[in-house]
Amino acid sequence: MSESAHLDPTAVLNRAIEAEHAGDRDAARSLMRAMQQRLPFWDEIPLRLAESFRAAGETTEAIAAYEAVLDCNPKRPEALLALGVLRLATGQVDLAERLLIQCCGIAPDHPEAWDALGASLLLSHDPLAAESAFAQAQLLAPDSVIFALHRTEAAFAAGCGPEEVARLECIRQEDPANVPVLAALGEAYERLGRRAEAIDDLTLATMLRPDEVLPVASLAQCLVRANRMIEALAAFDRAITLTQDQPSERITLELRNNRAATLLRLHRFREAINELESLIAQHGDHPGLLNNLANALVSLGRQHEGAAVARRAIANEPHSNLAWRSLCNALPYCADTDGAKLLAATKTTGRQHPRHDLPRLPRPSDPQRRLRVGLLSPTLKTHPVGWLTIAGFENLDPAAFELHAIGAEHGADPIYRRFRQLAASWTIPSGLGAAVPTQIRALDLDIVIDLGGYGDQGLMPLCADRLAPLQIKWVGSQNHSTGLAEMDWFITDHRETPAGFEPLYSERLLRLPDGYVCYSPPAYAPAVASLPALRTGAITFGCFNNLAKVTPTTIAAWAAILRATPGSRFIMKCHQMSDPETRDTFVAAFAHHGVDPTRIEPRGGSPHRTLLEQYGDVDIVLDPFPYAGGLTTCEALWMGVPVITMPGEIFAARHSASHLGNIGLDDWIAPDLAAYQTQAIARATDLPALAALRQSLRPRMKASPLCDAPRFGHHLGAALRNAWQTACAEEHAA
Amino acid sequence: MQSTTQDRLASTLIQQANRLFTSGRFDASRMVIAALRRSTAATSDADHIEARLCIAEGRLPDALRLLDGAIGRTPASPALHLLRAEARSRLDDHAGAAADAAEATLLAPEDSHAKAMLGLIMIELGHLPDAVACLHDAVQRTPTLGAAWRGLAEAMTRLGDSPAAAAVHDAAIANIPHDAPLRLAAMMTAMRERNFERALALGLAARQDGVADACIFGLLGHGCSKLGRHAEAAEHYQDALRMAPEDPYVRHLVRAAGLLPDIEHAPLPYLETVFDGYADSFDQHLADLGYQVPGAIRETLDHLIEQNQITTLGDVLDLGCGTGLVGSFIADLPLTSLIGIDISENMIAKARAKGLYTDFVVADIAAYLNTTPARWNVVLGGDVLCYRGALDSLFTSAATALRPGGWLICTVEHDPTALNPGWRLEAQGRYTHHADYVAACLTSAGLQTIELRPETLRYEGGAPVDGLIITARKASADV
Repeated sequence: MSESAHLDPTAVLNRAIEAEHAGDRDAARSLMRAMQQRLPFWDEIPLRLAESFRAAGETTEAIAAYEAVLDCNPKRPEALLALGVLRLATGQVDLAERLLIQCCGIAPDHPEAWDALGASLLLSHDPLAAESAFAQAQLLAPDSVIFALHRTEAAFAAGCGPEEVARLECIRQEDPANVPVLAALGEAYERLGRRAEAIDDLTLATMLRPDEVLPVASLAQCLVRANRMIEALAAFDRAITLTQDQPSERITLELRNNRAATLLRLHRFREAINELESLIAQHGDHPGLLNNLANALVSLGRQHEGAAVARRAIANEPHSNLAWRSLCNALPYCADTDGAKLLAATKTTGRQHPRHDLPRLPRPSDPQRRLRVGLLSPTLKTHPVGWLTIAGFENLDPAAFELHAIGAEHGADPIYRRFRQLAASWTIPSGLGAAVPTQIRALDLDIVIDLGGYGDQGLMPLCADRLAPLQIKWVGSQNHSTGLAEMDWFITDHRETPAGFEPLYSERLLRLPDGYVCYSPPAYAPAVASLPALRTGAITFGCFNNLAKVTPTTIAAWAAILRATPGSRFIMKCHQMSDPETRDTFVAAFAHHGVDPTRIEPRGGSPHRTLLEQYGDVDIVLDPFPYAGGLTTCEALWMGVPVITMPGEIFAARHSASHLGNIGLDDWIAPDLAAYQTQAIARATDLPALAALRQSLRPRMKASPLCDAPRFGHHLGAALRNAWQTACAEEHAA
Repeated sequence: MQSTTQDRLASTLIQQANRLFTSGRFDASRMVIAALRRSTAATSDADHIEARLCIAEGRLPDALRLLDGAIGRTPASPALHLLRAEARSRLDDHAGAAADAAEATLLAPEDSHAKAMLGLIMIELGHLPDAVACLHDAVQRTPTLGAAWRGLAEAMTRLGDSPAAAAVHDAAIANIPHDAPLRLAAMMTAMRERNFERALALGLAARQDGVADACIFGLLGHGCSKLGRHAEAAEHYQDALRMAPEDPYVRHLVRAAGLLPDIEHAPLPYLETVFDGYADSFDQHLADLGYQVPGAIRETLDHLIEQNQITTLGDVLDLGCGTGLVGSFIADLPLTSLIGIDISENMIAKARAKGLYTDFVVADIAAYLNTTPARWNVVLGGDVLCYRGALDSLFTSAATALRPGGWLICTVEHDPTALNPGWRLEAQGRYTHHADYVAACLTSAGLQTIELRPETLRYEGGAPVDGLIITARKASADV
């Protein structure tokens, strides 16, 4: 202290700054404090001190220090800006706004000040003023991507999205290589659902300026939404590399978590688990990380571990709907989940969704009129939702129902194009908070059918805000009752939900007379092959379901069947089997039950036609339990392969039973585990019967209610009408 | 250093522009080219991709200008010559195109694409043996060149050697089994030769090999329909619809097969597509079918003139004039004017070539009748109402367009066994109408039914197609 007292203050301050840079924060601060006592009116010292606190994340101390700066010099712009930003971060928006307006007045050529002012105006719900502030920032720093993105965000918040796109397109016309404009256009197109254009412009921006992180991070997200996962992964990798030198831990964590989610969608579950566990070790039990980890574990057949992780997330944040959704997605796969337990979980989940203060919807009236029906789903495309619902919707009477789609668009996907033909309108939900339900309510729908549940990008939580007077749950993560108080009806059938099961559902049941879905077989399906056992001399059992559905109990049952059927083999085909370690684990589980590993043939994913063709190698499908095959069962049957199933109590446990019953194969439905095993063993001994059944299955299916689209469309229409008429009658009575 | 970075950027952007172009994203490709032009120096690669884009967008003079410049700077580039050959060919400068393609083959003697291009241009020039030699060479070198195989088969067909053309298609399919356009070309050739059995066999084989394509399923349906196998046709149409749900032609066929809820008239793009494609062979096709309609209309008009002692028919409108078949039967009658209206530009081009009509309108007949201020003494509709279900509003519009005392003479297909006295979409994609329905529509339009005469309109698969010749009249002003 005595030494510094004799030195030139600037030299001392420089020494302090050097120490700070060298990482010796204590030394730096001690020098600065000493100087501050000597020169209490010099604003530079508290400013440096404040920046030291801010860099260390010591917000309270930083705020005090910046205030000290302003005491010395109320017009010091750096302090006004930094303090404004800190006030904003601590939620003191009004205070922040005053400081930032002052800063912009004092240093009008400071783009960061205008940008921060824009951010505070956006938070105080004045998007038009925010847009002006961001525009000023952009004018001062036309090369900045972040300012351009902020301006576009504000324009959309002000409801001027199309105008913003027009403005950006005009600039692009003049300056086609303007990276900030291209990045902003990419964001704007994405918000308007023009995803292909968004990807084009963001890609071009990343090519023109490969070192800029924001366009590549936005591109990665767009690619995920476009289901272009391999490219998305590469973009995430690039973005993460570019952020390595940047201080924002939040951005890095978000990018890495999104990268892990991309690995999940690429079926690279083990890598995803490793990445997520490492992130959790570094950053703690972040709910987004736990959610992805739970999904990954379930996908690898580690159902109970997945559910435990979801419960951990709930323990951390008991009211997080994300955490509860994870649990609802894990429980149906767990062997010990019964209907009551699952309903309790879905009910609690349903209570966690945000509900906004929205006006009451019009009451149902006019029982006979043409109804406006919304289809709420991110997967109106080649997906189980598409395969199992499109034929039904195509065969609804257009004079009685007008369909409106709500969800993502899917480019050239053939089933999406069929939906596109049916839908009178297509709405891409956009915005935050109450904006999305308000946007959908503006469609003036009579009925909303949820076709996504809590699945990937599922939109069902929006139903908590009641999007239409009548809300109905159908296919799409329809594993059991939604538990959602606002979900009025649940489409099912008598096999899926037999009489007496009503207490396991929170909705009223719309039981269709045949099956609850109508299968629309692909035009490219190969012809049914002859019985492979006649060729190989031994029975081949198989299962082409997701590994998530295969529990240790399922494997034990399958192993027992194999042991009792001499020479028999088992083909397990799913995406997860592309991973050698997962394959080894699966085969080892059979070995543990005394089945020679050479009898187990794991097969990885393949194009759909090839998958169908590979049923040519299977004599009998063994359905998994408790979560039964749905679309997979339909496909096996279409390819001539019968399925043995054991239905359980929850909805997801009964899909195969519904499909088999509808094509007249009730005798392939086993009431319990012993019957499941006995029947599989017995069926395997009667090759002539299997061969005859195989050749008859496709024509039988074609002629059955499972594939009779006009009949199904009629039933679906009658069910929807019934629900509407009931609502009208109840309204009238009330 | 700077130039290396620039080169790398240029190369990245050219690749991206090409990628977008290849996937049909022309607008996006143009944006990348604009950025490329702004941020890097000019290169012949950039000219090449921009010229490709110009060609695809139909801006052929721009393409030629770019290519002339680029070839001036880089005369030894076979790719630039090939592209200019394509541009010139599209501008019907086949000789210029041949010169460029020949230059490209000289510059790159091993390049089978250049050989194939030269062969395809030789077909255009009518040098069929040369075309065969070039295309044969091209497929020998590169057996996966679908366009060359298709060209080779076409050259064989034009040489009148159908078996050789079929053999070429078979060989091509064996080499590139997943090339859908090739399968289609083979099926189309068989259909044109009315060899429906071969067309079906080709379609089913394609399906078995996993070539799932809406057009293949559509043609399978057509083939089955031609052979009277309507149930099978329906299944194929349904598959076609699954592959191409937005295709109005396919949707119409599926509705016709009774697989989707009905609509009131055939979709306009369907009529355009079908008839534009039909124009070249329409007259011959109908003659093959024993087409009676124009003759029956002539007969009706002769009868009217005689009965009513008409000296002039006045202004005559021919609805759905097509290639002008009706015109060629009535043009010698005492007419003031004869105007033809049709949805298909190609059909009208054929009709125009006959020199019998005063003028033409390319439009949908209902839209035209609803909006035209013109008035007519006679409105004719030979074989056009079979593309419409409900007739009430059309007759009302026709009545409005008739002058007082004017005549409406038209035909409908008629199923005398139909129980439902309305209209029905039939499996072959056309509508039939019941006589009672027709009469009711005429009455409600304010027209007097003079006659509904049963007549055989044509023969299909040897069977007569029943119809009605409708004669109706608008009341005279003094009545």
